[in-house]
This record gives sequence, C-alpha cells and structure tokens, in this order.
Amino acid sequence: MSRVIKIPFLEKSVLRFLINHNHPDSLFGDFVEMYSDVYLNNGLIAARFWLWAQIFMAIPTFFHNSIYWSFFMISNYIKIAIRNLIRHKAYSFINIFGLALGITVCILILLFVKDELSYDKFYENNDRIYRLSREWLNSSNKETSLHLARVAPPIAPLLKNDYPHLIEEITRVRADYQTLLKIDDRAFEEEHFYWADQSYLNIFKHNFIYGEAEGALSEPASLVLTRKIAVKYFGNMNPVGKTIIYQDGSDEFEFKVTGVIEDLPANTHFPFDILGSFKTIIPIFGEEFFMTNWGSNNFLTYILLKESIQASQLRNELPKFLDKHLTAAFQSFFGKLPDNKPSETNILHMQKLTDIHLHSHLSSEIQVNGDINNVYVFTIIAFFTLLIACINFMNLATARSSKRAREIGMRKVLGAERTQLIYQFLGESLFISFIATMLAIVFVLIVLPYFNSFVEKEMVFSVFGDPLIGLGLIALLFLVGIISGSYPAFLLSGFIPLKILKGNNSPGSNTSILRKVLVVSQFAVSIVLIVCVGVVTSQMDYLKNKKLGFNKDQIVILPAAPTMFENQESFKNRLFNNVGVKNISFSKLIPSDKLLNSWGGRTVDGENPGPVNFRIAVVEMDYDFFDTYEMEIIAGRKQSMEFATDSLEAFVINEEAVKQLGWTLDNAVNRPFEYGNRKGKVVGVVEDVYFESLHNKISPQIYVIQPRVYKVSVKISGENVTATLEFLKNIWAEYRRDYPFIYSFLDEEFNELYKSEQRLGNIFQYFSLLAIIIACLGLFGLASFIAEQKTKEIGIRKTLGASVGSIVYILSLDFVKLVLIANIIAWPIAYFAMGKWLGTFAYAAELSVFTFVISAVIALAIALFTISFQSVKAAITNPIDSIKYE
Amino acid sequence: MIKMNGIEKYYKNKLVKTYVLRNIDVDIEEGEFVSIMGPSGSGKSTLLHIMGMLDSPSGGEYFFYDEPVHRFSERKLSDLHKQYIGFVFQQYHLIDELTVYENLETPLLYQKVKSKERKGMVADILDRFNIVAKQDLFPNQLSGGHQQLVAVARAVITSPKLILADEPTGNLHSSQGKEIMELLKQLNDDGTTIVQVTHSEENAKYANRTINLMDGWIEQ
Repeated sequence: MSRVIKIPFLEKSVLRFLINHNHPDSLFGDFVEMYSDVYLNNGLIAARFWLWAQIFMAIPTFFHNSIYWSFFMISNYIKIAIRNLIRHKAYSFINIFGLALGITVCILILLFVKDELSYDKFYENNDRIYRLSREWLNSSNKETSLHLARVAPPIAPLLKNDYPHLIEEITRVRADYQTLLKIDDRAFEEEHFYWADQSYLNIFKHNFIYGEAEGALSEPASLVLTRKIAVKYFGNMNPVGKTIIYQDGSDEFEFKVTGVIEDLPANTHFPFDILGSFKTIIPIFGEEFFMTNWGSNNFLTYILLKESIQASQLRNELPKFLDKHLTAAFQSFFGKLPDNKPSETNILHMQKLTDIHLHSHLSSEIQVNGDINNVYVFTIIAFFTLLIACINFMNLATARSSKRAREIGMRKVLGAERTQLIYQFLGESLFISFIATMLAIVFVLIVLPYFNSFVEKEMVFSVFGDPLIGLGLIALLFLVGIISGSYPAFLLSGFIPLKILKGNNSPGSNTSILRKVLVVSQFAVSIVLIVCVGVVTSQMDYLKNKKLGFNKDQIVILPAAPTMFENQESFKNRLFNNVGVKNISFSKLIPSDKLLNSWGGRTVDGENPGPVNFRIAVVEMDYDFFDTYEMEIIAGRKQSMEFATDSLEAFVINEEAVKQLGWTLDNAVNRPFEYGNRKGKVVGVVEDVYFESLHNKISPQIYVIQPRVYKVSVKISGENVTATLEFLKNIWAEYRRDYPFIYSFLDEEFNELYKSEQRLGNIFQYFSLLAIIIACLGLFGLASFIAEQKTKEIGIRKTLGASVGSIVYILSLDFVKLVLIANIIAWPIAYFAMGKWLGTFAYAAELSVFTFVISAVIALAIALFTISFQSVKAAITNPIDSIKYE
Repeated sequence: MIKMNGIEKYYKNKLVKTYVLRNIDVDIEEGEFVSIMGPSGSGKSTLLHIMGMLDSPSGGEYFFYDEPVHRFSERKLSDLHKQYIGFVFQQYHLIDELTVYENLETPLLYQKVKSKERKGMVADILDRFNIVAKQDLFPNQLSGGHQQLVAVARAVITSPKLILADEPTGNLHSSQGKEIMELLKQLNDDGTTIVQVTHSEENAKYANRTINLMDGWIEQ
C-alpha cells in the first residue's frame, strides 16, 4: 500500500473551488491518491506540475458547468415564477400593474429631467460659452434693484478690446420686434427674429444646409434662416442669394438670404428662427449709440473663452472693467467724476451657457426658463412613486410568505442552499420587474404624446436608439427587481424548514410590524402629495382671484402702428364709434409686463435733495391709462390734456414710491421732482396695484406721459364681444396693413404669468393620483391577505354571534390607525415643503389647517373604500365554510 | 450507521427548560428497518429530525457513519444530508407549482446532476413506481396515495442510504397506507436503511425493531 501524500494548501483550495460534483469528497479522495502516486514515482516537482495541469484542465469544465447551471436554474426559476403568477392572478395583477405604473411615472419624469438637463449641451464648446448679465444694486442698502439677462451694447466690443488674451469671440444679439417679412405678395409676421454679429456663428456652431457659416452675417442686410422658415418662404429649393423684403412701417428693405441652418432643437434657451446681420442696424441707431449707450440694456451678449482659460480669470476682471468704462462714460456725459465707484452698484455676471436654462431666472430672459428646483421635486416624486410600488411588492410577498413557506421548507429538505433560494426569489422578482418594465414601456409610448403636449416638450422615447435610455431601463429594471425582491428573498430563505413543515404556524405573521411600517410610509407619501395638490390649487386660486387694484376684465391688448400716432384723437374717436368700445389707452407696458425700465429720479426739495437712491420703475402711457384700467388716484389728480405742461412735467407716483421717498399722501402732491431728463412735479398719487406677477413685491412706480408707445389696451363691454373684436380687426387691418391681426385678453396674459406654477400643480395632481392608485392596489392586496388569514377568526366570531358590521370594523380598524399615523408623519413634511414653495411668491395664500384635514379625510376615505371590498366579503361569508376551510 | 449517545433536546423559556428528548442512546445498523413509536408529544418526530440533520440536538453526541455530526458546520451538515438521507412526510410536502416530473427532478437539481443523467434517473423512478402516466400532473390533481407515492419516489431518487419517514401513512386510507408500507419494505429489502415514526402498531410491524418513546425517554 502506497503512502498518502497531502496536496499542498493552495492547490487544494483551488481544486475545491473548481470541483463541482455531487460527491466532492470521494472525487477528492481520488485526487489525493493519484497525486500520491505521481509524487512517489516522479517526485515533488512532477507531482505539482501534474496537479496544476489538472487544475487548468478543469477550468473550461468549471466555466461550462457554472454557465450551464446558472442558465438552467434561471429558466427553472422563471418557470416557477410564471406558474405562480398564473395561479394567483389577482396578486400578480396588483404586483405587475402597480410596478408598471410606478415605472411609467419614473420613466416619464426621468425623460423630463433628462431633457431639462440637456439644454444647450448640443452646442460644441458649450463649456467655454458664457452669457453676460447685468445687475444693479440700490446704493442705499445694496439690495438688488434689477438683474437683466441682457446688457448694454458697448460692453461686447470693449471687453474684446480689453481682454483679447482671454476672449476668443464675443457677440451681441438684439431681438427684433413686430418683424414683418414679405416675399412676392405673401407677408409673414416673424416672432423669433434676432440681429446677430458674424461672431455669433463662430461661437455657436450650426450645421449649414445651404451656404456656409463664414461670412453669412458679415454684410448688412444678410439673413440666415432655419430650415422650417426656408421651407415656408421658398419650399424645398436652395434659397441662398434670394431676396426677402423687410417691412418697417411703410418702408421696405431688401435682404439677401446667405444661409440655411438646421432647425434648432427644442432644448435650447435661445430658440430663434431667423438671424439678420447686426451690421444692418448699426446705421439706424448710429455707430456712436453702440459704443456709448450704457442705458439700453437690450443686447444678449455671449462670450467664447479661449481654450484653457478659466471663467474666473475673466470674471475677476469685470469690476475693474466696469469702473474704467462707466467712469469714463459718466465723465463724458456729466462732465465730472461719479461720487462712487460704478462697480459698487453695477455688477456684470458670467453665466455658463448650459446653466442658463435651469439656473437663470432674470428679468428679460428670452423665454421662461426651467427651474432646477422642479427637477429636484420631480426626481423625488419619481423616486417615491417607484418606492411605493416596490413596497407593494414587498408587502404582498411577505404577506404571502406563509403560503410559500412550505415550498421553501421542502426545497431546503431536498438540499437547496440558502443562496439558491435567495437567487430563486430575486429571480422571480426580477422576472416580474421585467414584465412590469415591458408593460411600462408600452404605457410610456401611449402616454408620451399627451405628456409632451402637457409639459410643452418634444421628448422622444426610443428604447433602442438611445443607449442612455436603454441602459437606464435595464438599471431601473434591476433596481426595482432587487429592491422589491430583496426583502422577501432574505426573509423567506431564512426560514427554518423544520418549523414550517412541522406545524401550522405561519412565519409571515411576525413580519406584520414591518408591513405596517411600509403601509404607513406609502400613505405618508400619498398624503404629502395630496396636501401639495391642495396647497398648489389654493395658491393658484389666490393668484387668479386676488384683487389687483385695477380691473383686468374685458381688456383687449393689441399692437399699435405708427399710423395710429399720426392723429391719435381721431383714431380713438373712430374706435369710440363702436358701442362695444368703452375706453382706449396707449402705453409702453401693460399690467402683467415686467417693470424693467427706470430713468433715475432726483428730489429737488426736502432735507437732502439729490438722486433717489432706489429704483423707481417707469410706466410710459397716455392720458387714458388710469381710466382704462380703473386705477384709483388717491391724492391729487391724474395727468390731463387740459394742462399743456402735463405731457412733460407731470408725474403720478404710486403709494410705495411715496412711502420710500419718505413723503406722505398730503405732502407728495405738487412737490417738484425730476425723472430722467424731465423736470416737473408730482401731480397725483395712484393706489398701489399689483402691476407685475405676484412673485414680485410692489415696487415704487412712476407714471409719465409718452405719445408714441406700442401697446394698445381697449376696454370693451362684455356684450357682443365677437362683434367688437371683428370691428377691431377691420380697423387694425387698415392701420397695420399686411400684419396678421393679433390680440389677447389681459386676463390671459396674467394666467400666462403663472403658467409654470399651473403646470406644476397639474403634474402634482396627476402624479399624486397615480401614487394613490398604486398605494391602493397594495392596500387592496394586503387587505385581502389579512382577511384570508383571519378567515378562521371571523368564522368563530360569527358563530359566536358577531354582526357583519362589527367584523368589518375589526378588519378596518388596523388600517385606519395606520392611515392616521401616516398623517402625523406626512403633515410636517408637507407643511415644510409647501411653506418653502409659497415663499417663492411675494404674495401667497395662507397654509390652512383645512387643507391638511381634508387631505387626511381623503386618504382615509380612499383607504376605507379600498379595504371595504375585502372586509365586507370576508364578513358576509358563511362561517361554516370558513371554519371547515381551515 | 447511526450512533447517538445521550442526545437531549430542550427549549428554553425565560426560566424553564422544557425537555423534548432526554438522554437518548440509539444505534442503528445499515440495512435495518426501525420504527419509532410513542404517544403524541413523546418526541418521536424531534428524534427523527435530529437523525435527518434538520434539527440539532441541545446536547449529546451523534455519529453518522462514524462522523461526529454534532460538531459539523451547517454547510457540511447540508452536504451530508443531501448525499445520504431521503425524507418522507405525513403531509407529503410536494411542491404545488411543480409537476410530478419536476418534483422528482428537484433534488437532483440541487445535487447538480447533469441533464442526461437526470432524465434517466427520473424516467427510471417513474417506471419503478409505476407513475409514468402521471408525470405531467400537478400534485393537486393526484389522490393522497399517489401524492405520497411521488413523495417516496422523490425521497428515493437520489439513492439515499437512509430514508426517514414521519408518519408516512398518517393521511392515507388503510389500503393506500398498506401500499406505501409495502414499498418501504421493498426498499429495505433492497438495502436501504429505513427509520419511520408511526402511531400504528400494524405499520410498526413492518420494521425489524421498534423504539418506544415516552415523554422524551426511551422505554426499555
């Protein structure tokens, strides 16, 4: 008999790991024998060689085996999962449908978030592009008085001149208003026409379909069109070199098309349709205007930094830059040095291009931007909706665990290891998550068009086209599968087989605490959402119904035309011929507009006469403005044609201005005052009105007469509105030939101000509805399991004479308690969140206890309704059946 | 094959130890057919479960093929159990979601028997137990007797050295019960060691020897 030699430790462990055999010990014994043989015959080195050869030979089989077994076991698990799903249809439906809803919400919101985060990222060099914004501070308290997204025209050329080593390109862009373009006899009013330097095309790389970027905007009277505009004017031909007429009043100018670019994607903060060359407008304003006018802050200014230059390098220079040039400007204008450094009240900011959409909410933005807070809020909603759905899954799985316990116990007796059982349950939940994800994809494809029109986006959901979406879905699938499967998997696989097989005790019952926690958290989330819906709705009501201090009803807003100014009185009289027209006013701004302009005030008498150290916003208007809007003059009088000097020397200021000037209603009237370059006196005080959106506090305002201003407000009577509008249309066709008839009602303009809040409210409504549906699905399932578990108890109680009502009561009581606890958790969260949201309004509805109580009642009612099906069913079952059943 | 010295099993409450088994000495040789009898609560099932390594004793020594089971890790116990022992329960404990065929296949899956071999083994056992026609049915489509037949087949399929049967005929009519007992006898004749727990004197007679338990003690 040969000696037995021990296999060295390392090789032993490797072999143990690789050997996958139903009798590992005997196989290993064989190994030891053979190893000993080789060792004794050929020595240690040969033996170890032999051993390693064996190990290497075992590797392919090892991989083959593990792949084979994992594949086989997975298909086995799926088979069982499918049979389980079919066998328990209601349970499967609740699980899959609930998860699918949760995943749908999640996908929609993530699409939304992805889109919001993608703004302007399609531009090459987007990390080097910045926009300038300009902020003014009150010299008195250093608070912001105004922050504009557009700056003065000299800034761009001066910056480029001063810092050529930092700036590669800089461009100015100016919006054009009431643009009317003509080709042949067709005329179009274009809304998104901008004047831009050639350098614009060097900073923002666009794909040219016709023509080329180089030189496209370097000559006056050049136009670059987007594809859709080119098609509108020229069909599908190449329009480069063709002529378009630009109509300005009665004058016509010829423009040449120099290029056509692809339409801009929707995810840009600056969606334009047509660019005209900036050189075109230089002679109109005069070269000097562009180099010296620091007050006309209408120019979007974008900078492309040189490569390897940090934004902070330029940012740090900006105060110096302002001091240098503003001091010079002040000096050449007033002939003396300013009292303070200009940089103390003037700040230039650089905004990163890709941050503009979500982080910039300045006055004079190009369009209403998104809000990073909404992105956060929606992401949180998505997460919680998904969580609620996962909780359902866990809840139902643990509730059902007593039913599956026997299977688990038996599998363990048959030799299953715990890990194998964990894999089995995770496999099942992954499989369910897979089905739910597939279903959710279908839901998303169905719902996306509606969701798109709802959030005014053009999002695409392409599962295969977009790797981010594809991978995201897989990640979501695994996340959901593992979150919802993990608890049941670890709980169930931990059962001790003996206990389950021996007795009738159901191991699921000791998990009821956890189930309660899960139900409470589900309902807490739902209640928070219900409260949010309530608060947002009440704030929207508040915004719509708040007394603004003027009458915004039945006011039609129309654009003015130069021909109307030629004889304003006769124009007005023509309108008054129609009985439907009650009043007419020309003004530069209408209520709901932002009060962006200020000329600078100066007190003449009093303790320390001199420049007013806060901003007084100006409203330029005609004599009928206060009457048209029914604004009340509370001291003195309004400007009147009867006083010839009123047109230039009479000011009406609002109460807030009186207050901030330190005056009183009594002593304000007839006080001398200077505003801009007008010298005159205050003739009256108008009541404070909510001119701007209720996000803003009422600012000090001054009302001055200005004859040529571009908005017309027509107060009409509530009767025969259609006829009156038809009348207005005819008059406007006469005065604004070629322009389409565009009008709006003032109350619509106001609704427009709160559009994003309205949208937020609607999204809350829909998503909270979904969250509640999902929570109810879970509750329904849970109630049915509990009713089933208590079948015997109910049967016994009934044989002892319990009434149906008392049994329903017993079954419902637990859930009612849970919902009440959920309220206690939800209220402070909702209170905090909504308090913060209301804080974004200068004027907000109060958070009322009523909203909270109603939400509690709604949640309770929904919960009771959901469980009533099961509890009543259980309560009216014949007790004999249920006892026998056990 | 089985050697137990002074096995005891108790459950501890706060202050009280409740004994289920006390000082059990058992020797079972390979090839024996042993019945364990005793009134309800005498600890017979617990003893069987300890033998089957489904439960661990609170004290004493247990040698299985001379290996000290009472010192083994969970993992090693599970391997030993998988390799040598088959179980039959009073309530059959077939897996409801699996067909007869799949129920029989399950223990082989956990032992990682290869596909071809596995098919052969299942076909073999179906044949031997005369249940080929029932292979695609689910347990709830079978009579109690047939379910227990499948359960025995499942216990036997891995060719265990030891079959532990916990009142295998408790839920069956007497004729069905007799069939199962005949089957066990047959297996014993073919060399499998069998230990059964039973209430019935008649079934106990199939065994070569009977161990009587009373209140956790072996009655001599």
